[in-house]
Amino acid sequence: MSKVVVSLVGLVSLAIGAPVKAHAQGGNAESTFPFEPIHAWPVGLGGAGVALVGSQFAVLNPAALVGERAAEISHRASPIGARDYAISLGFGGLWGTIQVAARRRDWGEIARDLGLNDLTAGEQSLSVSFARPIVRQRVMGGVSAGRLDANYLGGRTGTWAFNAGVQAEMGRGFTLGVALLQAGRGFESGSGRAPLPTRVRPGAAWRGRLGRIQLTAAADVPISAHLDSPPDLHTGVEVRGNWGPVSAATRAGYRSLANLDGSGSTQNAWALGGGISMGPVAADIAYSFGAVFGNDRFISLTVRW
Amino acid sequence: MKSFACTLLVLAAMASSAHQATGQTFQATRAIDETKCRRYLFWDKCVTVETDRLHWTFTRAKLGLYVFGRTWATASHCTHVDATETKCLRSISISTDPEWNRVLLGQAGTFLRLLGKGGTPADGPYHFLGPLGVDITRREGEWHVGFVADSRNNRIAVIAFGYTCKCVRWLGTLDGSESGKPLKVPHDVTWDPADTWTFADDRLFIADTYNDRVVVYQVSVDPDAGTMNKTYLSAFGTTGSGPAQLSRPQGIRVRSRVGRWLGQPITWTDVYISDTDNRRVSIWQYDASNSSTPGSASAAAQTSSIVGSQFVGITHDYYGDLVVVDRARNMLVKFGSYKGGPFTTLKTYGGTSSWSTGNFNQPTDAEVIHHYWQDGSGGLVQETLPYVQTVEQWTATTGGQLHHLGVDAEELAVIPGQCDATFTFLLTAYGDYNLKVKNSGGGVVASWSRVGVSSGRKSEFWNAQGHSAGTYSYLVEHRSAYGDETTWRTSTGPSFNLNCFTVTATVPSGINQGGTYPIYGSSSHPADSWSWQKSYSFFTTDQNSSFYVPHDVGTYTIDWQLTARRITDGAWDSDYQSTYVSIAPDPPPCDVPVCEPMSPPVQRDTTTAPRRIALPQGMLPRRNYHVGSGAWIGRRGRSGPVVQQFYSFTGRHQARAPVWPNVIGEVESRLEPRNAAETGRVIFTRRTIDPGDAYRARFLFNTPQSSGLFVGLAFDPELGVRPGDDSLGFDPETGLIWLADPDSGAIGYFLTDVPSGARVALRQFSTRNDAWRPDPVGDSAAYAEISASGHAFTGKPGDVRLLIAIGPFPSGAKNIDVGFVLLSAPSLTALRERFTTAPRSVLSLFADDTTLAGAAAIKRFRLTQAPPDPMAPEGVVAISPALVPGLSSDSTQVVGGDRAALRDAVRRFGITALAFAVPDGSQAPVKIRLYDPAGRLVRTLVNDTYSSGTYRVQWDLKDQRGNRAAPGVYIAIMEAAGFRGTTRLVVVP
Repeated sequence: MSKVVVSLVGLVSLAIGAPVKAHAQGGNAESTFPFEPIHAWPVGLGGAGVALVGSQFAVLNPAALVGERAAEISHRASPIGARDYAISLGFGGLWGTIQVAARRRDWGEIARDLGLNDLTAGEQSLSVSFARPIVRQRVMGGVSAGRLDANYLGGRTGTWAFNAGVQAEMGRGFTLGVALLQAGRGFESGSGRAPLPTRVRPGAAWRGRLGRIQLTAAADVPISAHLDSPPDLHTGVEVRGNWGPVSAATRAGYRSLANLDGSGSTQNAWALGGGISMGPVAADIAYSFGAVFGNDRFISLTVRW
Repeated sequence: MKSFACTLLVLAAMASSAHQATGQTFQATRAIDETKCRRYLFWDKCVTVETDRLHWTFTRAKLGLYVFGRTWATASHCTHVDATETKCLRSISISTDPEWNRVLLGQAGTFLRLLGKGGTPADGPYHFLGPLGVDITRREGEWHVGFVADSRNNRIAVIAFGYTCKCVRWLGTLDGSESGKPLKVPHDVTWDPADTWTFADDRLFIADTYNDRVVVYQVSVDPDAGTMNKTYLSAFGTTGSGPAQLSRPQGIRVRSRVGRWLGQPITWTDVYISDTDNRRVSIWQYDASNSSTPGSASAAAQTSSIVGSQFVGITHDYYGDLVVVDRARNMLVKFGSYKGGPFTTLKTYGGTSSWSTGNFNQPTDAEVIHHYWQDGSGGLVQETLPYVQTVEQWTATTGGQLHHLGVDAEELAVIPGQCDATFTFLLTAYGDYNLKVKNSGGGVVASWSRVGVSSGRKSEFWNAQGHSAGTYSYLVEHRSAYGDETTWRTSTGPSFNLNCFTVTATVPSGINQGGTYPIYGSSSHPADSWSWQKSYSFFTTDQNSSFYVPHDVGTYTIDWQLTARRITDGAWDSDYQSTYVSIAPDPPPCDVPVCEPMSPPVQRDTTTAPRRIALPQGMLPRRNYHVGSGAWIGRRGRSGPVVQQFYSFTGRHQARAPVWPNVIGEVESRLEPRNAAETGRVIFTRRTIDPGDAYRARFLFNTPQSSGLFVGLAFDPELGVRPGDDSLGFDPETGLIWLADPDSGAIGYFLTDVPSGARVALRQFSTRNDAWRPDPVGDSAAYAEISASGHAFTGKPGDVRLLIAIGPFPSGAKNIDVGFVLLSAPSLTALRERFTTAPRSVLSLFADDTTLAGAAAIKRFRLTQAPPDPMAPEGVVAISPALVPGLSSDSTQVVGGDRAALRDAVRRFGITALAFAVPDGSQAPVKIRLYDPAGRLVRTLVNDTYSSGTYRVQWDLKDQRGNRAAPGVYIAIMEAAGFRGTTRLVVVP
């Protein structure tokens, strides 16, 4: 346990130190590489889930993987012309859980305004995560490492990113989680390295039951390692009903994103979603609306075994 | 608790007086290998020394409190040492490292910290250059004060060290300037306490080595406050080998003796000096109490000069005997303590340059400390342990001198480019250096030699053009520039990679006559995306091409830029070359010795206001002058229209930057404003008629305030004809303006249609003052002006045109149509004949041009990407919709080679500019914001009110806080009067 704590503290320190250094040296803004979840479940919860268990939340906290055996595929359609695809495969055993995940964002023909239909942009990542219980199935820990590559109009750049996190079950349905996300050196560009949007993301979740109805509430407060903007807020609730092997859920969420213009202002967005699962198969859908670009649609399919 | 117990034990031991001195038996255990530096603890149970580390272990840990066995320092080059008494955890050890310009601190035998870095006094505290001798106070309490001979900085640094806080405080420096002669490379310093309880009024004796003297200060320090008061007391010693003289003293220690004289207690202060170059040890007696000459010193005794010796570090043992380090003879020499009697050698230790037991290898300093331990029967033993500092093995083999090891190259770093590298390092003292770059095979491919370089940060730049890609390394050889170090020592820098890609443009260097000249592009690796720029404007994407130089008299320069991309990895490179053109005037075109005098092409016009066209007498002007043709928009001035915008037909605009379409001969061409300040644009449309071509020039005003506006056309001999060989004329009877060329025939123009009620005037116009010539003349002045100045190109000062002015127009005028006819014929005579059959009005021919009529209007707001233009200014500028594909329905579509060039530009520069349109007749607040893909606001790019028109805004790639945007896709959203448009920008890596 102490090693995990020490490691996490070290990672947090590293994460705080590295981007600050990069920020100060090059005067470079954070990378825009896509890291936010696109699985419809966490999206329906406003992007919250650092303290929730499930492979869907592994992108928010690798410790969420513990005990999961699942394959997922997700898709996001955005009004800004981007299409996101994600696929992952996780397998768990007594030794822990390992997950391989790939993701791509395709910007399509991005110079079409200029009459150039053969120029594209895209970002992709491939990551490996590992998680296992640390203390008697009550404290879980996980780490992940990912390779990030981007191609903007033929110009390529890439880097590595690292995540680490722990989750602790506190009893009475409460779970706490904290994760260090997107730590790394950042993308190289002509003016130096653009730091990754490193976040220390604490969060809490509660799960309770009311007869057949299962309630879930979650909230995350990702804190930027080096921006002086206020922390973001992701929060959401889920109501799930179970009927034998079938369950259905509805979700609502809210998120705020701090603007990067130094004004301290935020962008607010709402999310609605739902899901249905039948035995090992689950399908989820979510809509994010109220954002500046318009409405996003997320669809995910999950198979567990 | 342990500390407390230890203290009790120590106190008990002192109370019992169970002292047992066993330190005289020095037994070096062993040396493991040849590292650069070694520190030996000569004691019977010192067991290990590790490579490149000072690492030793006691097998008998005394009192269980000494936690030796830790790493002392990594790759240290320590030379001098001092230590406090090792009672429990209250021991502070201090050592200097002149190689790396730092001080090493230890506590209770354990390495504590490194202190300082290379630098001069200007760099602030904790910067050293060649720190050598060191001494430290030995009082109980929280603080010890260390004195470091910062030799190359010519000063003594005074630093306090705290036990419990493990902190340091910079108290100040002593530089000897109060003596009238600053310290010069001081090698050692020693502390002489005034009492045992305070830090007040202590004395410091400084071996001012290169001044051959000893400098004495009195200092009072307050470590808690971080302050020091210093008083210069005296200096003694002169250069020489006499009894009271010194030669390069490198070691110094002080010992006070208390005795009685004439029944009164008296204190003698003996100053022991390693009189190095005199090969002896000298004792001076310092008299602080002499009321007549306070601080005076006298030479008391000297050892005999010992051949081959080199006395450096000096200390006392437990009994007060003197232990002096003889570096040259690799030994310690113990002299009996001086008590006024003879000064004799008691014993020597070592003597063989060896790392074996009992020997020393280039020892430099020694310190004897008192050490308490518990013996087998439980009694506490005080033991005297000498610490001996030695130099690295290799200096023995190379003959290097220790005190000159302070010259070093530190903090080696390299900043590699694609095909160049910048090497930096810190030269720690006045020295010489050679910087050598090696390839992977070890061969030296570049080198720099510098002699007599002052200390500080140095850099060398390497242009690696011509060198192959791969890994390179470099090293810096350095040595003292004082002339006393003949052997170069080496510091190795990090390796780095180069990936050279070189593009070479081959262009003619000097041209003295008109014609077509080839240009060639080549590259070191297979490449594509070739792009030539000619005088900052796009020229061609062909790797090899040619360009035409007109036979125009003048001298000018064509600047070339060739850019290409390496196929294998997409690396870009550019080459810049220049072509110098100097074309002398042709010989007189006539066969007779004296040429025909010049004649004015137009008659003098003395009116000051535009009027109906006045047709001057047509006369043949001098040949070989041409300036430029175009359309213009102007306003009423005091003496007539003042040209505000001029659009060259042939692309040679005054601003050089944009390439305007060649109007004549095109079915449709547009001449656009360059910025928001310009008030209009012109659209030319051609229709073919029987004797030639009919043109309509449609002038479109951006502003409704058109009152007082003029429009017009300008013609000059350059148009449509091979430049440099034509003639300009005007037929006043018909209004025909013509150009005649002996080779290609003649071209003529005449106005057919002007707006109803408009006044037309023909004037001679000079761009020298960008106005009507103040005194319109016929020729001589204007053309002679051109001839004299040699400005034959359009847009240069001295340019003169025949200019037709139409206007002024009333307020509200928006679209002004002007018709004219262009005729061509084999000769001027034939041209005049064709003129007779040409229609006198042509605008009716354009009645079916509905597309053009509609195209002129901007009907709605629009936001779109704009092509990259590295030359474009930042911020918002008004532009032509034709410059941005898709901006409006009448914008030009990119086709053919332009598309390839645009694609290359977009791939290289990204999409970082936007174009937006504000519809005709409106004025609206426009706000354009940039967001990252997550939806966070990155930058408000535009937030202002704009009138109708089309605009370009260039993003400087900064976010609102001024940080450079990361590579990626950004979303631009425009909001204006209910309109909301979105497009995407791309920042490439």
